[in-house]
Amino acid sequence: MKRNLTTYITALLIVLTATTGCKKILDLEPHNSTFTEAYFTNGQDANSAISGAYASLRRILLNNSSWHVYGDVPSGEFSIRSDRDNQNYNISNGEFTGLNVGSGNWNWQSYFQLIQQLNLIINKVPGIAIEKFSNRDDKQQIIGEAYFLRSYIYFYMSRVWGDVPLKLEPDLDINQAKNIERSTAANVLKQCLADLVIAKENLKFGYNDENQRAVRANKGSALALEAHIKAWSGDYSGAEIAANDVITNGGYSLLDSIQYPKVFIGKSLEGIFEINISYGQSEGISLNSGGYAPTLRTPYVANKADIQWPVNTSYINKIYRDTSDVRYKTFFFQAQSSDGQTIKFSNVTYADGSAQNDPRLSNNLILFRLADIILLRAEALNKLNRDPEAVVLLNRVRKRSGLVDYAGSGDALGTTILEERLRELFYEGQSYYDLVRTKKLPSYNERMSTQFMDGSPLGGWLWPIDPAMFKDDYTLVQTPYWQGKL
Amino acid sequence: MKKIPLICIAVLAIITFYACKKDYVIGGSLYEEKVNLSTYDYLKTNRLFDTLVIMIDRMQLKDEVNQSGTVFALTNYAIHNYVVEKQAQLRIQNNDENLTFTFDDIVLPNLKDSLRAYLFKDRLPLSFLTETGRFRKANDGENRLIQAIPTNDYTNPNTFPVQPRYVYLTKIVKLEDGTGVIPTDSTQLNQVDPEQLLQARVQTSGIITNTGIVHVLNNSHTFTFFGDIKN
Repeated sequence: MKRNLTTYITALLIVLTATTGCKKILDLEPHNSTFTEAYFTNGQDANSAISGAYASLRRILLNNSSWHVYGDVPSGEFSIRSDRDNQNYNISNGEFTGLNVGSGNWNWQSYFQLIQQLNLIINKVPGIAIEKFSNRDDKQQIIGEAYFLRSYIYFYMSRVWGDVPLKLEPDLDINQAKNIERSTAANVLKQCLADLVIAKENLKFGYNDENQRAVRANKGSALALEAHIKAWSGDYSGAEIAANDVITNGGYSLLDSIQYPKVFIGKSLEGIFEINISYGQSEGISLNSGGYAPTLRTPYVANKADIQWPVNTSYINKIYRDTSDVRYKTFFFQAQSSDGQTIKFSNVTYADGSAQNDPRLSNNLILFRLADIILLRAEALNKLNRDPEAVVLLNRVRKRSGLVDYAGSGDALGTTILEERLRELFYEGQSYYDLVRTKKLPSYNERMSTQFMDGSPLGGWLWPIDPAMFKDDYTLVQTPYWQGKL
Repeated sequence: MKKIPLICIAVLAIITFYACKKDYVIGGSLYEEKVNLSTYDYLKTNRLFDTLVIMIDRMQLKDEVNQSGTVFALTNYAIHNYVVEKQAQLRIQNNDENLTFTFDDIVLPNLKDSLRAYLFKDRLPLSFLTETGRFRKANDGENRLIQAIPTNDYTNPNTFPVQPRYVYLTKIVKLEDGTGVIPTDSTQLNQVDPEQLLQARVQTSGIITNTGIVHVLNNSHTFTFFGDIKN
């Protein structure tokens, strides 16, 4: 009898706990609804939201070194060692088969986290009353930056994958998120330009706070992006106008050849748009935990014996024919050896001081800079048969590097401008796109020649997308070249 | 009845004591840094040095190898790398992209001194070497820097707090623009620009033979440091 009673009481207790105990938790509002309604209420929220967007962009570009893996590795700049970095060796040699390269490099999920964040800002910040901003200029600035960043990231994705899903509204309720198809590259670029129109209206030239130079977008960054998008889509006359606006109104200037290495530390007068990487601001890259400096070894990184991406000596000798070029000395260390280092980004500080076991890289990632835009305008002018103007711009960049003035025209000038870009922007995540845009990729990296298909959207110069993404999204289609190949 | 557990225990005991007796080392041997052979004979035992042995024979350097305190041994790969680089250079020089150059085309007697640059009179074990390096004259008269540099590249620093040291054979060359001091003795080492140092890492160090010490250079080294084309 006693036993029965205990069982009965226990059972009763369990039933009571089960029916009443969890009630409160279940009644709570979902976190995301609280987020959007309670979060975007004042200027501080808007400011931290845009900082979050920059942080996410930094993460995307640095993750798996993707900025350099997309922009430099397939161009032929490096003789990547297959024994030390097999994945990127395969990419540089056009031996990418899908299975031999980690999927992190061709999965765009993190890009859509950034896009969601930007869509939220674009959707919510205009609704915050101007009085809620402690600095009233911030509201316009933040809206402008959000449109700029959305344009930037879509342009970036479109250069990598071609067609990408265009998502322009935030998912306020995760349950109603829909899968959307890939829009054509032409539509994506059209949207990028439409976003830039709004960005330019909201942004100004110059910086009030020197600390934000180049690492926060301004009107110059937006125009530089416009020039790049238009050149990429073949609208050279539009590109020329936008680039000219940057050069004449942006307030940027080329650093002289002695100051030149400072460009790559960042926030220089030459910088137009950069990702902040500064050990002094606790935002360096720790090379021991996750950071990757594949182009460096000792003495630039103490105790690092191996170099994963030595320079491709024959590529170097092809483009830097004049070894008195300031850039040849500034960018490379033992360039003629099989361990040639690219030391453009080699500002290393040691967190543990003289023991030198905890290296931190402290160089901004340079996305746009003045020399890049000057040469882009020169390229556009050459395509528009305005060679005399193009030569002036080309020689402005050559002069800084101690090269003699060039005086050619036509196709020869076009090749010189392209090679000047390859020289100037070596390991700056631009060379591959330059070679694709000018359709010269096979002449510089012959291993990519069969799959390049003269830059056709059907070609294998575009990246496939990670098959793992098809699992949740039935509307998604593989990039044409890679269908049936992975 | 009671005997069964006892028998079981006895059987188990027998298995325990006898089971491990067999030699479980299959393919390979326990580490032994000393080999009871001369340096030349040791090189002959390892197929990795086939090409090196051919070179030593044809250059008639057998005695000199055995009289050397330290030999930096080149693997077949290091010599192959030289052949590949040489072929690339000749193709450019002769403007003939189909030109072939093989090991047989090397005029070996001409490269005798190049190989002697890998032989040293002194014994140079790891324990004797430092990070700045010991400056020594190789048998061909050229100076080389032999360094022992610590790194965590191949070990986990959490497991091994002390960084292991690796031996480097380093050649000092002029800078590309022709400037730079080539030191003649160790007091001038501080004037050397780091860019002048061409380092070749040793993949196996401190093999002690009856006649000296063998350090094996890594497979991606190029004989005569020819990986640096302008060298």
